[in-house]
Amino acid sequence: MSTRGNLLTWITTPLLLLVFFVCWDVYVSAFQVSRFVLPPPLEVLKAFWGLLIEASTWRHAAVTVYETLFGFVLATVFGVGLGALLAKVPLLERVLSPFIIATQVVPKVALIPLFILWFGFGPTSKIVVAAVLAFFPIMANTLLGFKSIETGHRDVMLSLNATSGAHARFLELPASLPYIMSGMEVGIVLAIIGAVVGEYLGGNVGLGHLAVASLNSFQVDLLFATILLLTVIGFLLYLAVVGLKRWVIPWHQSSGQVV
Amino acid sequence: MTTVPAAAQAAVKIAVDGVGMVYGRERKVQALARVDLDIADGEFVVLLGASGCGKTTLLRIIGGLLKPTEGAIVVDRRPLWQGGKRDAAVADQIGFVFQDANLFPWMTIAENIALPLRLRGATADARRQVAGTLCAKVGISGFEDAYPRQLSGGMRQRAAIARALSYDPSILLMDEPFGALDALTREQMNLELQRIWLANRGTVVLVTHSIAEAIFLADRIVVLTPRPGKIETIVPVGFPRPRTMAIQREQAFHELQDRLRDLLGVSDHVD
Ligand SMILES: Nc1ncnc2c1ncn2[C@@H]1O[C@H](COP(=O)(O)OP(=O)(O)O)[C@@H](O)[C@H]1O
Ligand SMILES: [Mg+2]
Repeated sequence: MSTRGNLLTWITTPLLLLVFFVCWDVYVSAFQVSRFVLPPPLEVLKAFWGLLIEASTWRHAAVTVYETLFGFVLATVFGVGLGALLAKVPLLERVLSPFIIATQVVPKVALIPLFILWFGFGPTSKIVVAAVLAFFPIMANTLLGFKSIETGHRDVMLSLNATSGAHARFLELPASLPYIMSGMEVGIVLAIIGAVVGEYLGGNVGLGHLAVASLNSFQVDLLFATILLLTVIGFLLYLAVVGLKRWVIPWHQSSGQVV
Repeated sequence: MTTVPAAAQAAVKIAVDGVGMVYGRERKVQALARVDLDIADGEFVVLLGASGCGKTTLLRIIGGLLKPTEGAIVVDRRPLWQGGKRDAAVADQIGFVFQDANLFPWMTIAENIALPLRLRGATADARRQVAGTLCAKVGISGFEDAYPRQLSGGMRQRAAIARALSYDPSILLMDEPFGALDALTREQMNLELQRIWLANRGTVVLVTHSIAEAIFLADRIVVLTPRPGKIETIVPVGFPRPRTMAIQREQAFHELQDRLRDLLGVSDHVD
């Protein structure tokens, strides 16, 4: 079932991409769209190739990936930690929940200038932005995971006289992992967004900066190529987290593996 | 009120001493009222009653999963609760099997069965060996490395029984362990449970609302009535062991069945 589904997407995905590029090309030439608005796909591909063989591109990419991953790891550590803590101490959750909700309602992207002010134009401010954006879904999912543990499973540990350490290690953590991993799937995407938007607004390295620089110098094909590269990198990072999930929780249905 | 077989009088394994249970703070629900019951060492006791009469509550109290609001549980002459704390040495003597198998889906069957040993610090080799032996004992050999979702409901419940037996508790408490199984699997499980118990001769307290299951398994049937839950009467079952399903054709079985139905207030004889 799943192998046939995979085979299907292996055929349909390149096909749909091809259709997309053809439509794009036809549209650009038929309506004589300006190159400064939408360059034809072949030119974007050419610029993309140029970007790939340019050494400085990889310096920019490395910075963006570094900021994303650093922020993501911070978000995971603090998100899982706080989520678990709130689940274990319901009083703390009740006391803190208005503030947690408030931090969610604040449009965090609007806080980026503030982070730049506090943490400078270097990578630190971008790491913070990536971490802040990725933190919440990971924390919320961890909390949900801990709360969703079946009472029957808790009864088993209770009947076995398990210490709270054993409880955490053998029940709470493994039971919450599927939730934590879904939070991380959302988190990695938000971390990339955080890092790139941070780069848009300050500093002189990273793919986000490269995109803004291309725009300012009217190299629209380069802008598109940069976006394409960001998409590819984002996709790879996402796949890495999905791979991690399959590896960590092979027993879970969401891993889509028939054991 | 409590009648213990004369031979077992000396060795009371579990004493339920004036146990009462009131749930809730504002809206109080009295689930149990003054339950007294002595269970002999090696005895198979069945708690029988309609839904909501407090069977689960009583079993959880006996097992120390719930602290009674009144009275005490004494196991081997040691009180289960010392103030607000459960006596760990007593709790280690008790194995629990729930209505759902409650296996951890992230562990293999062998890991699930040996979890209690892991909590007690047993080595991986020792755990593996015990899991293998127990799988054979409960009839799921070959499934050691399978995950719970790959097993049928009956097999999962066998694994749950194996888990409860893994640390050799002298007391096995079972809360409608076969309630979720189909009738055929259920009879099969009753036979196997009797076989396991005859080999180990531990003390078993099993909760059910099936009259046939109660008669087949029990040395004594404790009939509970609801609101608040209390012991209506205790019915000894004299069929020699090992019993087979053939006892269901005996006159004595039907008489007992009718008597229990009357006690439970089931007027209509349709089963
Ligand atoms: N956690 C609880 N809080 C409040 N009432 C409860 C709770 N558990 C059980 N009860 C009540 O206690 C009574 C006995 O329940 P239970 O022991 O589960 O009965 P049984 O297992 O015989 O069906 C029922 O009236 C039930 O509603
Ligand atoms: Mg019950």
